Amino acid sequence: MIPLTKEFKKDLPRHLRNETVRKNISKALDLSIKKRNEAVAEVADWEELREKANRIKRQIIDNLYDNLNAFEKNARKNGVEVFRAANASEANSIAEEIATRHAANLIVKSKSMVSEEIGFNDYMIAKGFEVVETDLGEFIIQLANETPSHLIGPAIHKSIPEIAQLFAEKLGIPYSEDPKILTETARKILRQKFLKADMGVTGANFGIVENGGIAIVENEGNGRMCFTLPKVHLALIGMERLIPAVDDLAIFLTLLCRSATGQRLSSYVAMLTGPRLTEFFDGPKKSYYILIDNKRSSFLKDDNLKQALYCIRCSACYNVCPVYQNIGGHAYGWVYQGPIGAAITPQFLGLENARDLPFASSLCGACSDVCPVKIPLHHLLWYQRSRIVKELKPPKFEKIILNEFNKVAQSADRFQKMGKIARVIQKIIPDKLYARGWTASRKLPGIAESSFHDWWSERLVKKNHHD
Amino acid sequence: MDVFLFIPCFVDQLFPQVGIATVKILQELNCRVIYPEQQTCCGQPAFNTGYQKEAAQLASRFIEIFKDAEYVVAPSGSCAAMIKNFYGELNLPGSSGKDWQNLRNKIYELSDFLTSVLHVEKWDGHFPARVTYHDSCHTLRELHVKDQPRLLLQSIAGVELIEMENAETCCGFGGTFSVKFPLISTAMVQNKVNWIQQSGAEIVVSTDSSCLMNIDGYLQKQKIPLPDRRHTRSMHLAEILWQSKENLRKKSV
Amino acid sequence: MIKSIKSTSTTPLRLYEQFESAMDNLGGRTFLVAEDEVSSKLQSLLSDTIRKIVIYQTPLIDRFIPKTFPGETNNLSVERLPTIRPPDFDEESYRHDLIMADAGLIAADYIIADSGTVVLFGENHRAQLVTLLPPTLFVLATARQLIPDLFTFHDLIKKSNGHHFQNMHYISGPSRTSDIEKTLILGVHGPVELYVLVVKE
Repeated sequence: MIPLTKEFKKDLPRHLRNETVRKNISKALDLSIKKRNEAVAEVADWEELREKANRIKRQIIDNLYDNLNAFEKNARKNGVEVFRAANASEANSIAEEIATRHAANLIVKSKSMVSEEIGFNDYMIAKGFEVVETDLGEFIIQLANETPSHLIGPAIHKSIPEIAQLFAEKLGIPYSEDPKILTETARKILRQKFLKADMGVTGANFGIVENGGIAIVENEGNGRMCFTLPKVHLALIGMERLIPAVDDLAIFLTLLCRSATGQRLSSYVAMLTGPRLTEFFDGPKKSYYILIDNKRSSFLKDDNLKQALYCIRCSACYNVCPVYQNIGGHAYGWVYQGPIGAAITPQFLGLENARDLPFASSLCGACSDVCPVKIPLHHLLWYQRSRIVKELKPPKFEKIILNEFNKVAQSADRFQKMGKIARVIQKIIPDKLYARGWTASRKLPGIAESSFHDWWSERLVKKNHHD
Repeated sequence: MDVFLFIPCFVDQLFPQVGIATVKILQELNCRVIYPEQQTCCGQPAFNTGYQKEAAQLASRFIEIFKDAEYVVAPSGSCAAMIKNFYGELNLPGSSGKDWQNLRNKIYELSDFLTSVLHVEKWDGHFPARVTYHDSCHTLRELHVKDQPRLLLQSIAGVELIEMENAETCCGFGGTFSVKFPLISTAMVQNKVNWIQQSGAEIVVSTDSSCLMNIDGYLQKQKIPLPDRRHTRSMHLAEILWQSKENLRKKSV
Repeated sequence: MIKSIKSTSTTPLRLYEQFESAMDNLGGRTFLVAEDEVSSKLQSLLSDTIRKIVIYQTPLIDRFIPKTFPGETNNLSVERLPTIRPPDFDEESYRHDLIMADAGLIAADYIIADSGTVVLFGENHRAQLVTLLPPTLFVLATARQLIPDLFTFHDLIKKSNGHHFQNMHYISGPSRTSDIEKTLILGVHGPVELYVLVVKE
């Protein structure tokens, strides 16, 4: 998708104004938070699990290339053909080549964030392939020609009447607001696609170094359809998505499922090792992995940012973020949203193209609290701010004002004097001239006639006079 | 016991009564309050805006002023957290860094100091009112102070402490965030005020004047009354603690 | 409360109760039956709408499911798949059978009580479409296969070095989605009905 991150500030009023979307999203998020909290409360040693997962991920990321090599070697042993793609364009070309090699026309796809990141659908459709999104939320978004607004529930911004209208228009069914009927419609249509598809494309929640396998976590079963029915299976994998061993699934599935949807386990988890063996009745005849870099190596070079690569894409941080709750996912302008999106998008797209995102946060820290792999998200947001200030031109008066304040704050005398002057100015100049951001909706407090410092000095003077 | 007082810059200039109440509370509990008059600002505004160098300058200065203290108390979780945790993000030069490691263990937000160090379990005061408590983000998530203010409030005779919905959700201040992204900030404070109103409390209390400035600013501009037509007031924890003590004294006179 | 340490002190009956509670929450159904009750239980669950069932034959199925499937003689078409794909295998008709089937039957390798999960190792799940295409899925398990939770399970297979298998599937309840205004709908692409028969040996 074409990033709209540069228009972040400009587009905010539009996103905030939409009361119905805000209410829909609010209800959905409240439910997600409630379920997540209940599921987490069941795990006596949740905090230790987080700590352990953080350490495992740190080990993986700190030795990423060695781990990737081992993963690739093991996958090849299983008969998987593995490619490395340096960037989006390479990944898409390789995918195209694979599809062409197998004369694939119809491609069914399950949810994959990295596929959205590289613009897989647009690329392949432009090349003449039919690409069908099979996750119900993504199916709805694809029909509506929109982009996802949430990681787990891409269509949570859409109300039932909107979806009903969409299905009636695009799928020719009689208008119905019954979610069962809408789902049944999607099921029927998609089943035909699954059965006819030449290639199934999925992501991978985890790549397992120990055996070159991948784990796919889902609830609908569309993922299973994609990697079982078509004769070719292609997994698009962000190169950071590795875990050391099969048995690390216990900890990561527990953290992921409870954080994402409040489930103990999702309906289906598959650990796949490759194309079908001769004694199997089904499964893909050919399996491919594309391990995608696309700027991830630049994260590795930075001690702070590399922690962002621990992310297991659960979206718990989106749900608890009061900024996300109010502006919704589309406001972020790109694939990754919420706190993790605000932290990593400037690195993916360039600081100058996403300079607002890290600042659009009160740094409340709710995100860091819920992150299952203990990424210090609000610290990363702060870190990106410091990089933006260092590398880009600051807003006009900002640097000057801060420098002046600093100079004044080097001396208590000067500071107190400045306060006195400011108090006078405040009485003369209407505050909407210098503080409109605040005063549009809030009353500005007045500078006190006598500062605390004044009070204290006067007391000392009085005290000294008494002694 | 000697207690060094850290009065955040905006408390000094905008809400000195919070600082004054803090002094009185500490003296009431037999602390010798020392206020280093050279203090100005801990550097948080610069820090939040991403200005590492500028923040580090003020941080070094702050550390120098307070480094010999045994206890540093601030009527602000946000500013205490800045010193305790966020100074660690700045590349403080050599000795400054070492002094910081020492200092960060000595710094307390007021309610935490009262309960954890002075072991206050009950506050002798009188304040008949329905009160709700707003968790300031830094107090809650950086300092892990959550029960202490509630304990103190609940112990005041006459206080009916009501827990509001989403007490822990950010009020939308976030320092420069509130003026860089006023629309988002306003949406957040609007939500917070709704929850305060829904709680039925007459007074919202917090450990942070920054949050209260935001909440109160909105309440006053929007002139939002309670269902029974009275206006919700905001008070800093120090203010309500001291006021309740004065009320008790007046009563017994 | 689960903890990431193996819990050993639970009795099979207690574990079954946990499993049953989890299955209930997931919208699936489970029954604890004696060996000689398997047949009659299955019969009672085969509603009139189930006209065609595909069975993936593995040792556990051979042990507990009679050679003549309950109801087979009256209008119930039963397709039996051998454990290993035969040389004369016709993929087209295999798929067709499963597309037309109303139910699938397979045996579990383990069942996890806490999360209501059926574990299928690759070597006992070579016909994966049996658990995916038909709208109803029957799983045969034994009480001895009950494991308290995911951590205990992985601890167990780590110790027994059970990683030589091709593929592993966890199935926890029917297929589901909440993508439409957070309304829970069961049975999106996978089975809408899931029955687990747990045999007391």
